[in-house]
Amino acid sequence: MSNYSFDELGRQSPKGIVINYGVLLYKLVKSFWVFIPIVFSDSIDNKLNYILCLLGILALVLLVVAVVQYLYFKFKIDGDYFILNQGMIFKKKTSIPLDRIQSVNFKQNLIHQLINVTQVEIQTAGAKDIEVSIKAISRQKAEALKKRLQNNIESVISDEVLNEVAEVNEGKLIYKLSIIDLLKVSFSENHIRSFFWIIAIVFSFSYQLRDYFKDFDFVGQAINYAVNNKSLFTGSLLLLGLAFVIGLIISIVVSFVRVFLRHFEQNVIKRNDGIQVSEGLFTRREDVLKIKKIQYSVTVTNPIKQKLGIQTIKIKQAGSAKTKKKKLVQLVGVKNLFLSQLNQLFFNYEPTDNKETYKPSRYYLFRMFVRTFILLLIINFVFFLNQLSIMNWILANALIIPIAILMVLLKFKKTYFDFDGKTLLVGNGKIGTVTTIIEYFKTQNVTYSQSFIQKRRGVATLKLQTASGVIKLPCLHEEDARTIQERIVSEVEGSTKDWI
Amino acid sequence: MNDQQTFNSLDSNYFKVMIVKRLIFILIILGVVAFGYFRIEPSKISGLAFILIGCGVLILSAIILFLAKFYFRNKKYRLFDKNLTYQEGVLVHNETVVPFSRIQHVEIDEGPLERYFSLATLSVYTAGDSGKDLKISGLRIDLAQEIKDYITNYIKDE
Repeated sequence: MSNYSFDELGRQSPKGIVINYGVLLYKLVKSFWVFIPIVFSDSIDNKLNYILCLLGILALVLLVVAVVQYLYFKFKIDGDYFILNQGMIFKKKTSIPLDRIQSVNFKQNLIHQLINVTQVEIQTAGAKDIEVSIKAISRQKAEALKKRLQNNIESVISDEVLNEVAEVNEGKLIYKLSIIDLLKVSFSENHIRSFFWIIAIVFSFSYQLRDYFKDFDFVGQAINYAVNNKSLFTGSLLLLGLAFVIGLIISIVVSFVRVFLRHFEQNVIKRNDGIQVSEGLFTRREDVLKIKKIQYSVTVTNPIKQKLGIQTIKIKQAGSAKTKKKKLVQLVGVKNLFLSQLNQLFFNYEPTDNKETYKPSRYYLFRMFVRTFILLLIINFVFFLNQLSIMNWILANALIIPIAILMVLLKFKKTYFDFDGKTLLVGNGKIGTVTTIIEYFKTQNVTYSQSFIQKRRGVATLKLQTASGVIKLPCLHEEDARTIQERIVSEVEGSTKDWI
Repeated sequence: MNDQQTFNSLDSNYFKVMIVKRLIFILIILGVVAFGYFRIEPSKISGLAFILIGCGVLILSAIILFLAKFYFRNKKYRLFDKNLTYQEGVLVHNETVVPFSRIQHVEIDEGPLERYFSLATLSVYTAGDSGKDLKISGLRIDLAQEIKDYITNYIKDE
């Protein structure tokens, strides 16, 4: 098995041509499938030979491409690197340090099985989920390659294994959501948001239903009524009020159902190197989070939740783009004590008194006002197109404008960037309060961004890329932005801790 | 290998590459407009409209070509002690710092046009969102290789 050497640049198995060709054909069909019916239509009958000829040439060209791809696809292991060269016209040289390789996976689809080869996928910790994939080599060679590559990642693997073992070991239950907590959570959800969702759904349905139930179309009639009698101010207002109350009740019910289905009996068990979260009414969901993999957390609360003394924590882990959405774990109904416990556990963070606080420049306020103003202009243009009566138009604006201004002011007030030791806290939110907590040595790279308007005003925006999304610090004073950038970069460079 | 303190400009040949790329883009757009002019029946869109569109495209092309100089001028990189920094952009100016210790891997790409001027593109990947990492076009091939070796050696020693 060990007679395979990867020290010299080598190609994959010649059978790779078949796989390359298959992939190319699949891509071709996928991008042109819309035109397939045309081939079978009558109007094109007399040109059929012509088209078949064209397809033949295309198939031949693709075959050549597949062969070229095969010939110019070469890889080797050189010392501590996996080296891959590919491309004839667009040359690409990749080198991956072996210790950055997270996992080596085998894949076999139907074609692979037919011609008896294996596809090898080499994943690193990057967000690009598959960095390198070798389309076709024999099973033995794949095993040998895996062995060579994984000599260096044994430590990672044993970690994974430990993790599995840890699941069997008993952990310590550190948190459990009671039914009363669950009721509190559902009650304090953002109903306005669900309300708008419901409105959107009702509208789209009512248009579809109109065709089927012409005579019993209450919703449609109500809408028609509202549309036809726009000038009847009291009528439409009454209708709106009624719709609002009904909609709100429905959205509260929906929130309750949603929260109960997803978060029923949520509990957190602490294991040696992570936590395990399980939740759900009918389908129980279990997530294991390794502390090291947690990049940052987002704490969300709103005035009602604050009164009830609870908040929601979203935990952001490192992972590929595909799994990111699925892996987002939310702890709901978290009380203050447990929150500080979690911050201690995840980030070793305990609030101190010597925080360094930065605020965005007043330009940020100005920019938000300008953007809101443009949005208001667009909304008013829509009103204009709908020929809203003067009365309703004034009423709508009297309602929207103060709310918009209030939102901007709240957002400006709630935005702050706190450095507390090795931890960065980013405040955000309008009615609700959002706090992002990150150990900033986990930053991947920092961008200092400045539009030409920002340059004139002497402000800049910082973007911290993490392995789980970007954190923006908008419109800082230039000096502040530079100080923060340097602080983060030097922390990242100096840190010896693992970010994953 | 290069000055460690200040920002370095790209190889001056890369300006030619930028111009050629922009010219190709403009030619394609003009081709589409010309195709429309000859193929669409005059009754549907008047000839005047096409002349206006053509003029618009030409003016935009002039602007694109004119701005190329500034875009080129603003592209700068700095290989520092422990990080690689890259600046670019005219309307929005971005400066991205990538600490070596966060680099996952480094790649060198050579397109046909770049290779003609013996230039290459150096891409540096971190675990951040893909596409938001560093991509420095217009380095001399040997310089790109040198930087790549420098970084990969650093990662290895770490």
